[in-house]
Amino acid sequence: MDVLRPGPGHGRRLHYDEEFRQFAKRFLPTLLRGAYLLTRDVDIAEDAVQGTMLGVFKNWDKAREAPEAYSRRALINVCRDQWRRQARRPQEGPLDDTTPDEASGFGDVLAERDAIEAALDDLPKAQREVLLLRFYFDLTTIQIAELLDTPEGTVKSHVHRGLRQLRDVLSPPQEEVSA
Amino acid sequence: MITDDELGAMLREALLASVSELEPSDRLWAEVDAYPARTVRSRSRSRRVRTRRFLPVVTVGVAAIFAVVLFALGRATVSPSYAVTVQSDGAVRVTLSELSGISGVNARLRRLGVPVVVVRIIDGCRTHVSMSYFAGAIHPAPRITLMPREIAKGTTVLLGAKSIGPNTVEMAIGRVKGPAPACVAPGDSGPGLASLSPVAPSPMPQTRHLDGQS
Repeated sequence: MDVLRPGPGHGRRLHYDEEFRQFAKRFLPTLLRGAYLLTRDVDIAEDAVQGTMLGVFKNWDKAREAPEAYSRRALINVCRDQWRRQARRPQEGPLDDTTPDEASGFGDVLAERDAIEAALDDLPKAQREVLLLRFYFDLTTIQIAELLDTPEGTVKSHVHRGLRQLRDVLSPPQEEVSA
Repeated sequence: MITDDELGAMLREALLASVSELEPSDRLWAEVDAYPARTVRSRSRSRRVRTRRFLPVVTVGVAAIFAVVLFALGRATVSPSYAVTVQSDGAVRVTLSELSGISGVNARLRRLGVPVVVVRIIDGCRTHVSMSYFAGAIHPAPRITLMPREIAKGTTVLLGAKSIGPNTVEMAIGRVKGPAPACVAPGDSGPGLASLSPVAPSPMPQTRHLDGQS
């Protein structure tokens, strides 16, 4: 009686598939959140993560040794490509932009998170990217320098300047000391 | 004097908190979960395709020409996807024709200091907020007019938005105390239902005032 047997690589492939699924289950939310911070658009972030995970899966033999680092790096490259495409596209503008006669006085109720996002948006793109890589993706300055093909000194300078610029938003207001 | 290390720790905490509610959509989970099966299928298909290489080359060539034409047309007809206008009585009008305009709307509202945030309605988002429709909620460019001074202090008005068809956006309104979430989940009924079909917009009021009361 003939018995169908999987080929020699079949068992390994099934094992790899299962490994990949387990990794995706564990790491997909982290990757999506990082993509959102980099792109600031949920749909674009989802597309970036989808493309990243496809690349990770196709190269799983290599990626499985350090899948988190591999996928982070792949995601950052995908998001950087996205930024470059966005830069070439015409900017979307408002339909009808008018300036308010006076400030509406609701600045004090803006959420802290919005303030941080706004402050990050105000940073030069290179500084923002370095801060996200350093403090969300937890890369070292050396790893960031390699990834961005930039001298480590430049990365350190971006981190320092970016943090200084965010200081007012990040740090709690100082209590006034009366004499 | 705060050190860079301390500032870095604060930034890390703030970044993690700002995206903590964001979860992959069901679509993304399904796509990624299906990669192994799909790749196995495509491996076996690629063997069959090798013998018919000419046709794909021609197809790709024609597709490339169309893509160039469409890209050129697209560039020529890029239309703005949002508007935020301030009226003489202080009312703020938000118009959104595509979800890609959300970040622009929010940036503009932030600059105006208005506690209104547009968020996406996403399957799988862990934040559930009670939201309701307003007239004209489903429209290629739904529009709402809000009176900022009537929004209660500490309240953030949420405008949930979801694309439900080509150039058609669905919107809902709700509010939260404190900061806005990164996204909101679709409701069990009403706004955000994936199966909801677009309907003809009903006449919409020019101004909707929020009383800020619960």
